[in-house]
Amino acid sequence: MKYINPNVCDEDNFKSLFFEFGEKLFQFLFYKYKDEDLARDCSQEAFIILWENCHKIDYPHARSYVFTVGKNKALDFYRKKKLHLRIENEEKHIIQEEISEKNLELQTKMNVILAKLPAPSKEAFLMNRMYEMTYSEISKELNISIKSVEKRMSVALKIIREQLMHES
Amino acid sequence: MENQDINIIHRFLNKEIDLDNLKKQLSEKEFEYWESTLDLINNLPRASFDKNKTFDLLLEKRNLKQKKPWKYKIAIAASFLFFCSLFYFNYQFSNTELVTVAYQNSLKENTVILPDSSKVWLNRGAKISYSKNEWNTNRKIELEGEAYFQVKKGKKFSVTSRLGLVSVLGTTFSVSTHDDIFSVVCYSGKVAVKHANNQIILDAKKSFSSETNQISEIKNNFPLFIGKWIMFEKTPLAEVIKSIEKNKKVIIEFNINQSFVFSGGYSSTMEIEEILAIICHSFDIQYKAINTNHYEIYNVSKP
Repeated sequence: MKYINPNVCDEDNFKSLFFEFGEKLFQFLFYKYKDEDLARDCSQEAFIILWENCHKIDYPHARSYVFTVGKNKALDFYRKKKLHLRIENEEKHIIQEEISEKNLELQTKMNVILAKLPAPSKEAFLMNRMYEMTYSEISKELNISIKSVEKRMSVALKIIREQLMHES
Repeated sequence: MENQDINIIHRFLNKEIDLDNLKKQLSEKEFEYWESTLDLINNLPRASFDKNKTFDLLLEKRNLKQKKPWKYKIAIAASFLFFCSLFYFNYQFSNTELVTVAYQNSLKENTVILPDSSKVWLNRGAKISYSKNEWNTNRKIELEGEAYFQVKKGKKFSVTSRLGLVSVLGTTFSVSTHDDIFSVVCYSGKVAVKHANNQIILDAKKSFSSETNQISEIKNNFPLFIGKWIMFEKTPLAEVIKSIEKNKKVIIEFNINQSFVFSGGYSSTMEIEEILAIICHSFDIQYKAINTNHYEIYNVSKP
């Protein structure tokens, strides 16, 4: 018997995909770029693109598809933002601080720790923790071996532990 | 020691074992070592995220974006239609474009047949223009120079020139604007002439000229220029006379000794006596009719 995947083009299926992975994608992007607007816009954008291509994408692949699209969108946004940063400068900073004030305490703590991580470890760690990807999924997404994923995760764990010890 | 712990933690992070299993597999000391780390990475602070609100916003954005290609299609269709209409109007325009016919020396008979088979004869230097595909609704001709019109009965037919306007329903008439003199000759039917805010009705065999501002009678049935012109250049007069004889089917006795050379021409529509009068006048000679088909040309000085 052939198993028929749920149709991504179906509104209900689309909604459940968003409810399952939308926030995870947002959190991942938020930690990666420390920009709430960017994370929100890009995760929404990723699902819009999923909807536009719903005929081409199987339901089981939607999760990784949305992640890749969201990540690439964020990278584009981030690059553009970097260019604009010089012009927008101070005003923007004030607004951003106001927005994130409520989460500031927790986020600063986490962000301080994450800032100590080498970029590849941080990336793998956030993919695992935020987007709940398995090591094999991460290895496919980053096009590296599972061993490399393990190494990156080990580095992340060690540094986080060191930081926590250092704090207390 | 640490590497082995980490391998177990990897299994937990890789969802191979749950937290309870992890606790079981790690010694108390080991677990203590990793406790704060595990606590943090299992409860990472999250930015607030309202799933429902974000999803509604997402749908809004999505539907807005979906409409875009639709608008795009409309834009494409609109521009397509626009270009089509451009081509169409261009095509129409090229059809309504004035047909301009000017007198040409190369033409033997300078007649123009209009779309309703009305006929126009152009005199030298004359030029007419009219709209070909609007002809059925608008019989309007613009004229420069002199032309003779034979109008088929129908809707109003008008001839405009910078000097005046002539309108008719179906008749034969000629209009001339030579030397800034506006003259209209009506050969049959009736024509209405508008010139310098005056409207004049010309009956058949009447002519109007702006030079005298008067209506006068005419005798011709058509203007001289409409016929086929036979032209000569430095041709011995005897030859010219032979041509006339042949053309007009008359016999002309030519009793002139001098060798005259003739440059000029006559129209096939001219009366024989008219032709002879012109020729004789230019050489100071005389002609006389023996009968309607027989003429004689002679020198006056000759006793």
